[in-house]
Amino acid sequence: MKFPIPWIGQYTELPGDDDVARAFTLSGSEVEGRETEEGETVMEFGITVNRPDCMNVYGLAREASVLFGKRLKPVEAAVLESGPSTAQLTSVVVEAPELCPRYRARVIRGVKVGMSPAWMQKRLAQCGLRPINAVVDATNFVLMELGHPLHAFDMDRLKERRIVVRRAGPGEKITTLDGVERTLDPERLVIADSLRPVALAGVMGGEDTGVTFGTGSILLEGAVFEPVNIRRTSKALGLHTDASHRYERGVDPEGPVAALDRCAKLILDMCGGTLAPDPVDVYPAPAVPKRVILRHGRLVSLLGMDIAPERCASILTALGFGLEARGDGSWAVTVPSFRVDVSREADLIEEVVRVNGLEGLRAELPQGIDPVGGRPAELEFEERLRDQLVAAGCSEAIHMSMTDPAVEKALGACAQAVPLANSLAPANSVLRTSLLPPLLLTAAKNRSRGARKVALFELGRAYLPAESGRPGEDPRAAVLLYADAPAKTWGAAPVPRLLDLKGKVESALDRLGLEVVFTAAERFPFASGLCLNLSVGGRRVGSVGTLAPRALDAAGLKGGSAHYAEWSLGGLEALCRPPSFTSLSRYPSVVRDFSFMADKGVSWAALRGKLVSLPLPNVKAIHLVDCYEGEGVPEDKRSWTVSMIFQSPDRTLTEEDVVSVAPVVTGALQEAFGAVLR
Amino acid sequence: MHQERFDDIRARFAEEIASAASESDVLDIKGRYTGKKRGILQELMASLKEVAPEERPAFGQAVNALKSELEQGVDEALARVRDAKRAPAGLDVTLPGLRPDLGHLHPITRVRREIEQIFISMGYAVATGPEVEDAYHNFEALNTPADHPSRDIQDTFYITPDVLLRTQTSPVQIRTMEARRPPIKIIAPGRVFRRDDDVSHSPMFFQVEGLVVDRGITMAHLKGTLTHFYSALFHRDVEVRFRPSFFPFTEPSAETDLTCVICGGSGCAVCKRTGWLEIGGCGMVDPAVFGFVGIDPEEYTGFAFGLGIDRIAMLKYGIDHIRHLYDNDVRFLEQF
Ligand SMILES: [Zn+2]
Repeated sequence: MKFPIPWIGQYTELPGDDDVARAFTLSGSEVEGRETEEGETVMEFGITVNRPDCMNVYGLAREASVLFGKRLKPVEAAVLESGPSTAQLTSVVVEAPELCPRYRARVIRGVKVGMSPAWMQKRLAQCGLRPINAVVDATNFVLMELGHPLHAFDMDRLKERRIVVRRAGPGEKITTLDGVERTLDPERLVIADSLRPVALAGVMGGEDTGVTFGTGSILLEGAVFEPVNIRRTSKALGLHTDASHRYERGVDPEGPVAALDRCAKLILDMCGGTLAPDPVDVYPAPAVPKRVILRHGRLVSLLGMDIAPERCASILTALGFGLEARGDGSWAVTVPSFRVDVSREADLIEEVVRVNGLEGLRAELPQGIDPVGGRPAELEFEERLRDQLVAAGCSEAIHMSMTDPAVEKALGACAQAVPLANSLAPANSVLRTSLLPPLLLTAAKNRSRGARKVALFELGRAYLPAESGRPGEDPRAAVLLYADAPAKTWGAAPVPRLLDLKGKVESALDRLGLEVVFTAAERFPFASGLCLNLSVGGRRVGSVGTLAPRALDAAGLKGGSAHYAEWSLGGLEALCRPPSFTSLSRYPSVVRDFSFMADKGVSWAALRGKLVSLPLPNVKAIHLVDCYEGEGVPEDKRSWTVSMIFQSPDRTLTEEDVVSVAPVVTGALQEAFGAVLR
Repeated sequence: MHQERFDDIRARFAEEIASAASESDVLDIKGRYTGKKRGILQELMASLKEVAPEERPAFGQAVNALKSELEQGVDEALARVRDAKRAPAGLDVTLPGLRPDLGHLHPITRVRREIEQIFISMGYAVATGPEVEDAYHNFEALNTPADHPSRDIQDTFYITPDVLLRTQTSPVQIRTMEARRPPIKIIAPGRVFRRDDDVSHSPMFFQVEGLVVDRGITMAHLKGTLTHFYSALFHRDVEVRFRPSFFPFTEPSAETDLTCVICGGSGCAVCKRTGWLEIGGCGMVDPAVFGFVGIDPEEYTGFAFGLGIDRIAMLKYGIDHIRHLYDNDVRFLEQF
């Protein structure tokens, strides 16, 4: 909010601009910018939502007077009244007092409306307002100066020259000053004449009854409206104005008096006319000043800093609070009507702190015995998984949780992704149900920037639609390997294969103490025959596979191949088995290799399963040494070399121990698979 | 005079043995110098009779010393040529080393871990909560009622009027206080969302929220905690300045300014010549928040603070634009 410094200076003595900016910034109203307009300094104040009293020149002057210990001058608002009383000229009926606690009106007759003088136009321009005519400018001027929104009606255009404050009828219409016709409902409060709405209360006036250069009589409104209703109306109609901005934050219930007088004086000065005595004031339940107890001891113990009682008292008094010492180190504090934000002891402590400053605050650590801190086991598990995946050669990506619904769908998302009600862009309009869409889009983006090979992982949540309307959050891990050409870098591995990915996933989880079981599966977006279920502890937790070409198309990846794994992390941590020591045999091991050919249809899982099941003593491990097809091997066969390692815990194995193994192995493989020893 | 002969033999031997490329070369040299028959040293010894009688003992000792020196040279040369035969040859050792294929942690993760580690060392527990929150935990219980302008401070992504993407990790405060009684000492790192996308904002970013509740907790403790934390994080003594501000869930509230870690406070482009970096918000837990979770504000006090992991990462690594953080360009990721 922009205000010229000399205007503030009219009400209290100010030091140089640098000191002004610094003092405001360090007391809670940050000076966010400074410029020179029409030869004067204008500052941009970042006024927090709790301080509507500072959203005007006089409020800032009050702050400055406290910060710099200077006097605050009163507002000049003495007016000359004459002729019939206001009540004889108009009437005000408030039919919805719950939405309008106070409505005060003044009437000025016989005005000649011209343009406002240059000095006033300059002030308005400095605050970012355009001049309209002398009367409208006067209301805006007072809004900027004293912070209370006012509205001026052309009284001759009010039917029966009277005001009714009421809820709008269903479907009732009003054309506001911006020329837009708006359809209302009973949730909207209107200012009406005897016939129709003439203003949207606290938001904007109506076009028909606004003051023009032809206006002769004016009804000036100074009202108090209920903040929540103003805010709802402003939101519902998409109409945010200087008035609604202040009303929705809360205005001083006593504000209309001075604001109307000040405005009336300005209008009389500029436009002439006579001001009717005895303003109409519908104020059935005058606001009762709030009283709050402030304990000095509480202030000291909350801050950990001693601010002397005299200092506290003088700060609060200067800010307009009434203090009454209670003799026990506390005060009964009366809150001034303009401080709508203060109602509790904590608020008063903040007031003292704000003005006193926090420079004197020591920096000390809490005393006492600390609870044991640390990460919960599930988070520690995630950190360790990250480290394992980095060690496996993958770099960590972090994506938005929002993604493109079209890509989600094209990648075969099993559920309808949860849409945001107010997304910023279609490409970020749903919550991902899988980590695949963002990862694959990222691969495509990197490819378009020249990367030929991408190895990425991400740990993050998938958001799964639920009946309740609140999506379930499933912590996931995903790994994507993509390449569209063999690596051309010195020493780099060639194009990654599905088995590389399978190995990375298996080794990462194995290192965390999880035993992974892979079983063949068929599932889009994986290519047919190139997909595996990933299970841990007898439960399927995810998939690993080669992505189908049309999945790559969906992300705009032209060419190349991608392998992808994604699994759910929920509950995995509880299944992790810490390493457990197995004693080391003191006796050497014996190795036997078996080379044989089998039909292409025979899988490693089948071969291994058979070998494991053989009743052979002292088998320590079975390793795959080689699996080969091609030259030298018949078209329909594959050649295998398997290594079996034998070791006894209590003696050295002899040749005789192992020699009997060969016929058992070859016999079994031949019987089961027709495998022929090479 | 004799010395010259010795030096001459020594020099010739050194030259020949150094150029020996095979075992037979070495053995040939050995024969010529130390051979029992007509070896050079043998001849040298034979010249003893030409030496003056009083110098003879010294001369004999010198010959023996030279002999063992040459024998040692022969042994070393033999070991060298035999090893060369067993080891592979012909490698261009100036070729680049083969680096293991390792990935990179995202800078956000690196910084988040650093932050967590510092607080864990100070006895804090790490807490998490849902990213899709209800309005009650994200706003209401944080003293931000519906239809109040304080809701506008954070532009919010909604799923339904009551379900939203959390705008802060502060709801974890509420969930923690709902679940247990003081003493509470937590930090809550995580994703947060704001409906905001421009040069300096990302619709999603990472925050850390801290909360301490116990008897006798003061604002001085808050300042001490943040001073220690930031000094540890930036590996230098920093000063923390509190500037009064407004947050609905703390009172008093303050913006946390930090002596600029780039220029040390003398003023630079990063701190806009002020010498201070605005780094987060903090304050004493508002009694209204305690009211929502049923903690007696007369018995307990507490402080809360928040900071952006993104901002810290950008400061620490000199990242010039927030968009790099979530673009996942491998050229970016591989720098960390
Ligand atoms: Zn700096």
